[in-house]
Amino acid sequence: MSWDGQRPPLGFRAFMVRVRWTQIDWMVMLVALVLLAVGMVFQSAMAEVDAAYLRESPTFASHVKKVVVAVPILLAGLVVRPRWLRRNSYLVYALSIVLLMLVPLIGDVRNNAKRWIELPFGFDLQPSELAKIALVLALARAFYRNRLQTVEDWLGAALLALLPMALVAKQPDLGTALSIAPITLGMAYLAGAKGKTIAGLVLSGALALGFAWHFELIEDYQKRRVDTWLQAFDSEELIADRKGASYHTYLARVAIGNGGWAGQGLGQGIANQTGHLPERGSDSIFAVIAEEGGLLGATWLLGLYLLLVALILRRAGSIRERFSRLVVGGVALVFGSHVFLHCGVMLGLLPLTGLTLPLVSTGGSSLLASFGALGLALGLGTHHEPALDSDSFRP
Amino acid sequence: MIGERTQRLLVLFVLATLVLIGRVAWIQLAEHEIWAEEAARLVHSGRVLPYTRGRILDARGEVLARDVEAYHLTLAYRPFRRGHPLGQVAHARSTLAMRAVGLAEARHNLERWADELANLSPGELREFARGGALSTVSLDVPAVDDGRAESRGSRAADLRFYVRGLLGARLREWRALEDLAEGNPYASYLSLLADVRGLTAAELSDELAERCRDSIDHLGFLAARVELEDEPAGSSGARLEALIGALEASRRAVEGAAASALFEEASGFPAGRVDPETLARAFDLERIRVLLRWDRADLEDWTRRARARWLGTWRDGYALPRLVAELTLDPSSPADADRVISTLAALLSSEAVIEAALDGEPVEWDELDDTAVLSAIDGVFRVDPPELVTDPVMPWHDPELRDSELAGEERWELLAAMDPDGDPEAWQASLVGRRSRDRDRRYALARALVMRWEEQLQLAIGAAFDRMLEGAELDDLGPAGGLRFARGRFDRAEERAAYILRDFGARRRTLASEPSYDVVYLLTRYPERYPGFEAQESRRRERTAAPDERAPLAEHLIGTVSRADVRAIQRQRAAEMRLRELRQMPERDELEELELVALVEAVLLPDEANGVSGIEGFFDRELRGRNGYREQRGLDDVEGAGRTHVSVKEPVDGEDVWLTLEADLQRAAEQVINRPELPVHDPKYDPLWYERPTGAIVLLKPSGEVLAAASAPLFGEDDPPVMERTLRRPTFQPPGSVFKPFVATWALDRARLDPSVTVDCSVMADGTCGYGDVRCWKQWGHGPVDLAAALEGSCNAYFAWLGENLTTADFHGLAHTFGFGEPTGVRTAPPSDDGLGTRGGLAENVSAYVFDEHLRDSLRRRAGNGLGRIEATPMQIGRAMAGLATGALPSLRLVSMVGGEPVPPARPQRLPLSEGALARVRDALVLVTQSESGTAYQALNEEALGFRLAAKTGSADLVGRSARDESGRVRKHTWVAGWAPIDDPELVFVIFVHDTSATSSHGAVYVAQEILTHASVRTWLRGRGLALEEPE
Repeated sequence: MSWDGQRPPLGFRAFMVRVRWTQIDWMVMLVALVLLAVGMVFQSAMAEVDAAYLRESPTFASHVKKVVVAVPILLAGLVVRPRWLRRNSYLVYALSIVLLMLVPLIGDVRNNAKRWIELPFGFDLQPSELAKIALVLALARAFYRNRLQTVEDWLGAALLALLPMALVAKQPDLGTALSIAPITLGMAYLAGAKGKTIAGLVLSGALALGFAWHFELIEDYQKRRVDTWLQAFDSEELIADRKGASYHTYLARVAIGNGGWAGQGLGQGIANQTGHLPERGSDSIFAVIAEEGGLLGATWLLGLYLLLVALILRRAGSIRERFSRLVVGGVALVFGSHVFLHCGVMLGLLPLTGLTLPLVSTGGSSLLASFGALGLALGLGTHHEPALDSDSFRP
Repeated sequence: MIGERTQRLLVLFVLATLVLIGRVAWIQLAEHEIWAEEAARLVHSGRVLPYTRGRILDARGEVLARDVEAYHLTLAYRPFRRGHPLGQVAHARSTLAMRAVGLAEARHNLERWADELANLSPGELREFARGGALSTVSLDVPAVDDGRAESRGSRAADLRFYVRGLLGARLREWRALEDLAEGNPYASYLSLLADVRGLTAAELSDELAERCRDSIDHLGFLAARVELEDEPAGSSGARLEALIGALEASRRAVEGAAASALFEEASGFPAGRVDPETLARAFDLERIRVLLRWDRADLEDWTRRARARWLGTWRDGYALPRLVAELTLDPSSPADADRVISTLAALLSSEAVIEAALDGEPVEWDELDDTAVLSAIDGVFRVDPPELVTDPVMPWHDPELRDSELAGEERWELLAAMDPDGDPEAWQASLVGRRSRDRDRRYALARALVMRWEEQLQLAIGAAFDRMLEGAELDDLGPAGGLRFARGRFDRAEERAAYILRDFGARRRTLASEPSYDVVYLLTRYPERYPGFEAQESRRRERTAAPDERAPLAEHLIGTVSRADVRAIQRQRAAEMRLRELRQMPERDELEELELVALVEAVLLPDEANGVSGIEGFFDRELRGRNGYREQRGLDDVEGAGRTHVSVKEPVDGEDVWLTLEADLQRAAEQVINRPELPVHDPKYDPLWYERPTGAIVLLKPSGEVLAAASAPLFGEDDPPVMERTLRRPTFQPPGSVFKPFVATWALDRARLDPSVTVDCSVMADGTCGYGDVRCWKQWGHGPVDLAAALEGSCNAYFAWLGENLTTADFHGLAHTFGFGEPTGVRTAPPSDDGLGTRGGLAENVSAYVFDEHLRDSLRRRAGNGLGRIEATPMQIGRAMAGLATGALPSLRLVSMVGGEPVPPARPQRLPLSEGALARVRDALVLVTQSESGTAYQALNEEALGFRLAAKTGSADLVGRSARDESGRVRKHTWVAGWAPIDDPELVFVIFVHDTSATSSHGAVYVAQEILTHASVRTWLRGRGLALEEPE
């Protein structure tokens, strides 16, 4: 029987704790709210432009509705009892795996991929988004006692990460699948893995990819996507292929490049005006913001995200309890990797794949996952040790 | 205070952020110009502004030809589908039933189906989206296990859209309805909206039914006023059916085009490039079917239409004519065998190769390794294609033929080897011919050749797909057994599907040309009743109708316009490409701007009028204007804001051309020559000629202005246009006795003819009368005649004698003096002409005599009578007669002013003949009409006309097969030419009657009488100060 020396609370109290409002990292909350507001402003402008050009698109009200639906998840994250979470983290993980396994059976096909489960009230669930948070919990649970000193330690963690990766990749959603890797490696590092080991793993992964490429073990369409990506570094080639495979990349680049120093102004960008850029409100929102806000706006946005990640990491570093510390650190990694991957794709630094920008993109699952992660970071962050003067992530 | 690992991670994030910011800065600052230009290009569009072609007016300013605004009734199917109850119901029903429910079927069930749709509930649609069953009164959609595969989610969204459209719910109402539905999801949309509006469901249902009925009534109202192409005659019901049929055709075209675009996006080649049977058998087209809400029959129908479109519209209608034209663009070097093979084999190859061939640079056939479809299927399917490229699929892949060392003409054997059913000799012959029948022959040969090659290609494609199907695993095949596309091939197609459907749906198709004003009014006054319909402006050339009304006035003389032919389009291909490139540039430098303007002016628009013949052809440069160009930057939102127009260049309209023709005289002349009155009082008239009159009337001012030039017939037997006869000579056309006055004048002046010398025109030993081998027309002869009597009675014997006594040089001189064998002057370019280039149109037969060799006596005897070696057009006769009447040979002219600038008349050439000689002949010609023995007296005397005139008649027998009619009478053409008044000529006339058995005195003179007594002519003469008596 697992027993930490204290009698587990019963009823709601088993799940919830009273929110320690004074301990909440209000800076994190503030930055997150600013990002949410940025998203609201751009989503609203987008809806207005679409209405002006008689385009059918999700309304701003639907975005607000999604935000409202996601708020309870934020609150749940705030009040969840760390111990309950730790004990049930594998259960949450298992549920997320079940959802992922359900996708091929009952998922809705969009853009040639089954990623969504349609829920009542017009809310579509994308289990892969939630799986990332579940993975953070499961890894935190795994690393709770695991210092990643042995191969077995690594094996368990790797299995936890590879299972959702494989299921997500099968949808197919390679982008989300690959976004799991930095989260896993980052958490492993926070849990005490040696930097050299992680570097070795990254290198091995790169070599494996090279091997797969060389021996044509990857799918043609994936190869084409990489080819397209490499070509897209050259502006002339990107323009030449604008009606071909680089269609999306081209439109994103045009939007970003058109922004210039100070941007085109809210709702005045070419991406919004023409409506050609696919997934403007979700997977391509950085291009819209960069165009309408210019270099200044984009830098501010990236700065805000950096600040958010730094604040969450700082808070994680100050938490004494290892599970909570890892979960909060994992949330920072989720946000950080998502931002880097989303913006990297839009900027052509990475091959094209669909990933949302946390708190800013529309999309129910993305907002649910972001709010849930934020709630956890804020809630678990309240259990911190204010005056630790040494590295709490030490082995 | 944070720990070391956190710090390191943070540093990593800081670095990543810096990388991102650096990349943003690079794109937004270093590459900003590139992308800003691309962005501008995305919202940049330009429109060529067509000019208005100049008008053609008569001497008094009556418009004979002009460009007029016209309308076309067009339809954009997407707004119709989304906004009209018929479209909404048909497409909602298609979405439910997963088959293309026709508009005609929907019309017959409109109210019932609309009611069923309105009675769906939000809850039912939600379940339907998840794969649940859905039942309406007349349709049961069963539940499915894998509802997602049937796009149930997006189909449910479509159904919601159509239901909302049918109910006419505004956004606020719909939101209120959705709120109500949350509490009662299984209440029908109809009852929910009724609640929102404060009505009962029955009231709203009645409103819906009324709306449906009205919508059909409105369509019927429109149909009754529109004349569709191929429209069946009949009741208003039949007309409505025809209109609905046209709408259905538009829908098929839109959906078919969208399906083709999706297919091409996924496969890389057009669907029509593959035989429909192979396409349906070997390709998994399930996703296209689901996207377009089709059933399998619709899919098969599309494969057939796509193929027919590729073969008929693209290959035979577009590419092949251009490639064939390309073979003969350089008239100095006809294409050789290699060029023919390389150019036509391109059609069986990849798109890039076809483009190169269309650009006039075909890939050499022995280097042509790409084969259509087969070279493009690598990586398209989940199964690898067999090794096809190395196999000889098409004849030109044969290594032996490629290594052939045949040279020169022998190379044609290669074509024979590649196409055993072909005819290389026919090819060679057709390539050097320039006539239209050679062009037709070339095209026929090319089409037959590519059809045979296409057959071989389709066999090879079929075999290749059979091999792929044999090697495919179950996973590689779709539900119908076709090869599934490789993963990712359809991704982008589906990503763009909505745009493709929207794009094709928004394209306009013409339903009817030039609808009535009622239709234009209906569409502009009640646009909400006719979503998608629009009366679009266009332009057409309008001509003033002739009395005949089957043809415009002065049909031949004014000529025709047509669209640019395929050779002209092929010639301007490079310029067109460059223009497209320049138009796409959002910014242009000064030189590029000038180049754009020059190309906009030079490149013919597809529907631009191009002067082909007559005045339209000859003055095409002046009549043609210069197109303008206007650009739009930015997009147009619902309030019309967000765009700016930049006029790069305004169009310059063409110049007006003022003719010397007088419309009233022209009408009179056309009426008389095409529908002459029968001279029933004359038993010798030729009824055959009056059945189908052939001939011409020319009315001139003595100074050379052409007042009327009418020609008959206007149409051939089966209605093809026939040759104009005032400037042209379709057959050998000697002037006959009309030539005698000119011979006489010359002889008097230059050969010192004594006019009192007589020649005896009596019966000779053989029973005929005449002189030498020339017979006189008068059966018993004229007896002894002097010059005046010979002219008055048109004695052939006298002029045979006179001809014999003139030299060849005399004939040459007199013909030249009176303008025979020379241009009349009507083809004189306006003063603004730069002298560069040639002018088409107003074709004129000039070289009219052969007096350049020594003529034997017999030929000179005949020449004296205007026979044998000499021929003339009515215009030439008219000009010569004007010279005789005035003593100065004018230059004829048809145009008095171009673009406001007068075209000055050429100074008449004074005849180098004495006034005495001229006066003597003129006096004799007065006798022709005023003396009872004159040949034109019967019809053209003063009593008959009300004024006196001088004239000369003439006849010349036709030669050849048509020389005698069924009753054995000699067929001939006859003339009357003269002037009035006698002393101070105001009007010169020429009547030409072709192919008649009656002599001039029994035919042409009556036509002359009819025109000269025509009210218009008399009015004109009075206007010139002539006091006219009323004719008897």
